[in-house]
Amino acid sequence: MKRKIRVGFTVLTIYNVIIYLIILAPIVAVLLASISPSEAPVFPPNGFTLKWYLYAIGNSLYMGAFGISLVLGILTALSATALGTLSALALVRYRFVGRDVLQAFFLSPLILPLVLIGVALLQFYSLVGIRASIFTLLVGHIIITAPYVVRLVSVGLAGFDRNLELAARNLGASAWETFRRITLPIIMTGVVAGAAFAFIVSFGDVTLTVFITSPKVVTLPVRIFAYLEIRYDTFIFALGSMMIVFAAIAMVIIERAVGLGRVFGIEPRGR
Amino acid sequence: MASAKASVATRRRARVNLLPFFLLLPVMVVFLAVFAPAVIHIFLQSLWKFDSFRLAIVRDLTAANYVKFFTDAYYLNVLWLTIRISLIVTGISLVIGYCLAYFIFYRGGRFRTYYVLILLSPLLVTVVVRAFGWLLFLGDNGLLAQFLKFVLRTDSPPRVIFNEQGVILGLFHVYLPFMVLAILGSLQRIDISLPMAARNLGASAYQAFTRVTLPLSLPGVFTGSVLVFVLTMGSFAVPFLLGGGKVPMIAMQVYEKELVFINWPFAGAMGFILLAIVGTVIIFSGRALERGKYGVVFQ
Repeated sequence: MKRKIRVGFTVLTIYNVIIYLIILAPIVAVLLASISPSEAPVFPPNGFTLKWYLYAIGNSLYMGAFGISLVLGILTALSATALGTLSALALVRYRFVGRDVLQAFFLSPLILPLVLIGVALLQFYSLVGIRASIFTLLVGHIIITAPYVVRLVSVGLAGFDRNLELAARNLGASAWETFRRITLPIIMTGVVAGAAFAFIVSFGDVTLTVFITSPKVVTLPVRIFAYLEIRYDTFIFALGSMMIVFAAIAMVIIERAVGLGRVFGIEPRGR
Repeated sequence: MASAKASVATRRRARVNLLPFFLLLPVMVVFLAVFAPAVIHIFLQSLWKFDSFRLAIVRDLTAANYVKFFTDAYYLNVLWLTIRISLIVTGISLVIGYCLAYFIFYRGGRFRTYYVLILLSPLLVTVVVRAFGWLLFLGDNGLLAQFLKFVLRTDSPPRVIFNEQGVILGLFHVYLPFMVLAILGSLQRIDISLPMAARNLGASAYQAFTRVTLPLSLPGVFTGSVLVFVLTMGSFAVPFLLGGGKVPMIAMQVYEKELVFINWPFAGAMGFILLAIVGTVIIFSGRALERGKYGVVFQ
């Protein structure tokens, strides 16, 4: 009996090791292939060189795209978080006519296929006559990331003890002081988690961005996507590796700041 | 005195009632000035004609774009292909994801958080990079091709990329974390003493699982499946990069019609057909979830 359980456990463990290998395989492969000297991508690498990285860093087209992705990601995180937090406050705290409709409306981009939003924005911009710029991209990214912030902040607000605010007001704090010193610190985890999520989504998005981009303003994922349509060589793996390293750094920062578990909602009860 | 108090109270209530409006104002500006008109405009446009000779849109109200999609064998095939791939990806992620979630939850011990973090880490890397990583394994000179060449002693081993299998693998890899997260969520909500009680009362480990744990985790299974199905239906980059042009899923068709053939009305119509399918799935599953008191989808 005991032996049977141990066999079952071993099988399950082996199975999970295999699945984890599959999960990590493409990412590890991209990192390793990027140091290969040959122009044709190979895995495992047939040598060691950093020339593709130097080539990527020296290429203004790709570094420019990297810069745009970075600035866009940060701007999206800041504005989506501000807008999302304010609307979560309104939607959770107050009862007013049309609240449910508004909530469904603000969360609807989560359900709409991204291609549809992409096509809709492209058509709308061209109808109104707005040229593609980092701001048109920003508006698009706010639309698809603000709903995440609304949800993450709403969760934090739902378990909020209103008496804390009342106590602060009773003790003489102004409404703004109460918000700044009591409300904001308590919902901060949700706010930072929302910002992190918004950045991740904005930094990696292709499906929406590919529609509303213009030759002058291209994000790095779209640039890589366009490159892959035409060519496939080791250079692109160096770019991919740089994105992976960047994501890893972002991950460490988020883990230090709020805990990644909270961003993805796997530790609702805290540690 | 009393009336002064009352007027202060009304004034305060009036002020408080305006506050949520001000809080919502910034988001409303973005959503009402851009998002809503853009979606309404694209819907109206999907009801307009497209003159394919002059490459111009004719503003005649017609359902021709929708009729064309549902009568043309090619597009019906696209629809069927998209639904089929989504169902397969959902099924595979469900089976593999359930085992994984079960392992993480019951055997993870103090490493549980780390298991989940490793599982989620690919989500931080853009889907484009994740997709082309597969080319190294599955491409013509990839590890798998070399292995198959060696084993099958042939120069042209069967391909698992640039076809449906490659797309399914890529999509499975992208959406598996969502499934595992959903199932983990419902496993967490199960009172651990319930399966233990079953064991105490004489149930075998298998019985305790099939009669207690599995039924209690069904809400997560359901949520995860809806989520993966909906996400796969709208997927674009993976079928584009790993399908080699031979797996025309519906989102890719929208892209092509919009940017290559500039048949904007038809691209919009396909977008709304996709939305209709996805929306129907969500609404019906939402009803089912509510009936079972399991809360909201996407939660």
